Amino acid sequence: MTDKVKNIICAVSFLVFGIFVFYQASFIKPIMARDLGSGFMPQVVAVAIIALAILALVLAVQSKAPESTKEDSDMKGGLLTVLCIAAYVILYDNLGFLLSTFLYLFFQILILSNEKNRKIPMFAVIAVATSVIVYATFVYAIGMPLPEGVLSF
Amino acid sequence: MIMDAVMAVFHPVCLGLIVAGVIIGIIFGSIPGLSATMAVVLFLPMSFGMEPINGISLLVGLYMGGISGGLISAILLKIPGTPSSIATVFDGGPMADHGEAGKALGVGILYSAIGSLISIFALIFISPALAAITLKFTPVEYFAIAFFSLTIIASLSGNSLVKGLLSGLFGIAISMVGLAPIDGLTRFTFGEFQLMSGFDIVVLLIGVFAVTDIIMAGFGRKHLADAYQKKTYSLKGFGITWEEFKGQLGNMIRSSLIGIGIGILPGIGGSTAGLLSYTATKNASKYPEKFGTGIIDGVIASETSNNAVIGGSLIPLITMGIPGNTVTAVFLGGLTIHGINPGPLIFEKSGVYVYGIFIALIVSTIAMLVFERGALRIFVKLLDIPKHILLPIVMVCCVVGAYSSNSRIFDVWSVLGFGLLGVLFKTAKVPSTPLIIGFILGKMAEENLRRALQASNGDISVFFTRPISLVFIAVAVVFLFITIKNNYKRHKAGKVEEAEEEG
Repeated sequence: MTDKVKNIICAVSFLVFGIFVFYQASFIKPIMARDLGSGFMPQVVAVAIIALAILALVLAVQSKAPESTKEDSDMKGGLLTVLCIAAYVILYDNLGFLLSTFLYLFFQILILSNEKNRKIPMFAVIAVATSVIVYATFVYAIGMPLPEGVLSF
Repeated sequence: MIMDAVMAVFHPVCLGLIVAGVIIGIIFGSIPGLSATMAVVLFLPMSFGMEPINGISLLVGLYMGGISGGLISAILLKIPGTPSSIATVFDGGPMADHGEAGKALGVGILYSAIGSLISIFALIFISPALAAITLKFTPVEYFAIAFFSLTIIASLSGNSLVKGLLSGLFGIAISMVGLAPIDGLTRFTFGEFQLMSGFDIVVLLIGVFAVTDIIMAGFGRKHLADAYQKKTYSLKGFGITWEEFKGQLGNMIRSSLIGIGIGILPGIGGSTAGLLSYTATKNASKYPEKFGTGIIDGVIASETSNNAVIGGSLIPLITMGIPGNTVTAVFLGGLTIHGINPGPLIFEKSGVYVYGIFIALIVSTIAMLVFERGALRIFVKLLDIPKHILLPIVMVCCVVGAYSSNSRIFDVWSVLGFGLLGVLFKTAKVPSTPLIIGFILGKMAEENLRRALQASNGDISVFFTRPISLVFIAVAVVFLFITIKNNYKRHKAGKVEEAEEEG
């Protein structure tokens, strides 16, 4: 994807966002005398976003497209990381802090490691140790509860 | 009375609590997602059971350590440990990349202490006079200050002014989710009750500054191992020469004054102080183009000023009972529980405690300087942890930090959401710092604009007839004009270069 296309998509996204905010804010009416109402500021912000997005769009369309920069990004690694974090958030409340953190740490470290530095037993030890240390610090030393889930003690 | 306070603070138990507070504060400050505020909040219940002077001293130590500790992760991980250290990343990060992590840390620690000390003296000597001026501020002045602060977005936008402004406006827009000021209407909640209280700044910061980086690490995992180089550093003293120190005097004084000023004004806080000083120093510098490439000027501006906020924020708290930020609001709770009522009469009624706070502040500054410098070796060791192991652990801290601020899983989801937003911003090359500034200042601008216009019956001339407000608005307009002009010039110059290259 060239920078030009990226900039056009970006400008259009902001434009859509601005219109959406303006539309939503237009339903908010002042309820107090002598007050601008809670819809005023969002509308001002939305109009500014729309105006700047149009300017950004014009600038993007006018710009000459330089050749696309070769991107060396690992789509699989990124998506796996997002999935891994999402799974962690879902499991956090259900499985509890200890188990979900252990699983997250283990798989996330595995995803980010490469063939050379992949030491699975060490990853497992780090995952267990970190979960236990963080849990103990928060629950026993600071007295702040973390989700207990299936392992409660 | 002063002697009583000295005796109380120099009692071994009290000294021990200050040192413990400073060390815990540094740890909280340095871990992204755990903040000075959180440290003070977590230890507040514990302080209730102590002697008043001991409890207050513990909180003072936590506040001092927490604000200063943020510089460690800002420099070593390029993730601000606390919102106050956002601007430290700009030059501290590149310095570490160039192998100057030790120097950046040394300078940061030294100037944190200097900023703290200058602000403590301001607190002690000029607090009553300054408090009297701010007492006269009305929503008109507060709006003018918010407007002025928002214009700093323009100069922090990097190469694209339009994208920077869009990012700032986006920040204002997301700050509007939840209950509106003044009339308490719910806005942009789409029937979701979790959105009623809006987004927490901690959640936004963790998402945009930490989670984004972790997801980006996933996309760039092939280079995670080779991008990792062991940073070496050599450091004598604080890594700054006498010549450099002399050269930075102006920067030091300006940044301290900005920090103190921002601290006094309620609702702005250390993050804005750091950014504002950074921008002011950059604009005043003879070599503004070097900012962001790793020079000590940037680290000094940010760290001096965010620590100077500490003394500044205590001025209105002690003399008027007005908390300037979240930490001082928690502080106010701590003082009241011990029967100390801040206000103009506090020096007469609870003088020993006020002097106790002053002395505890000075002691904790020294403790911070000694322990942060002394344990620097351990902090720099953080860099030795391979990124594929460190980043997931940071993510766990982020989740815990997000969850702990309100004990709700919704905040953890929000962190992931903002992390993904940050990834989109990075891909489209939209700067994310303006987003944070817009988020912090948007609500303040709206609330004070509406209050001011309510009071003036909708007459906008109040913003131009009141002198303080006029000054702030005029400076903001001039500042904006200069930034746009410079940006246009640079844009034009860029085009000429492109044409020359093609030709």
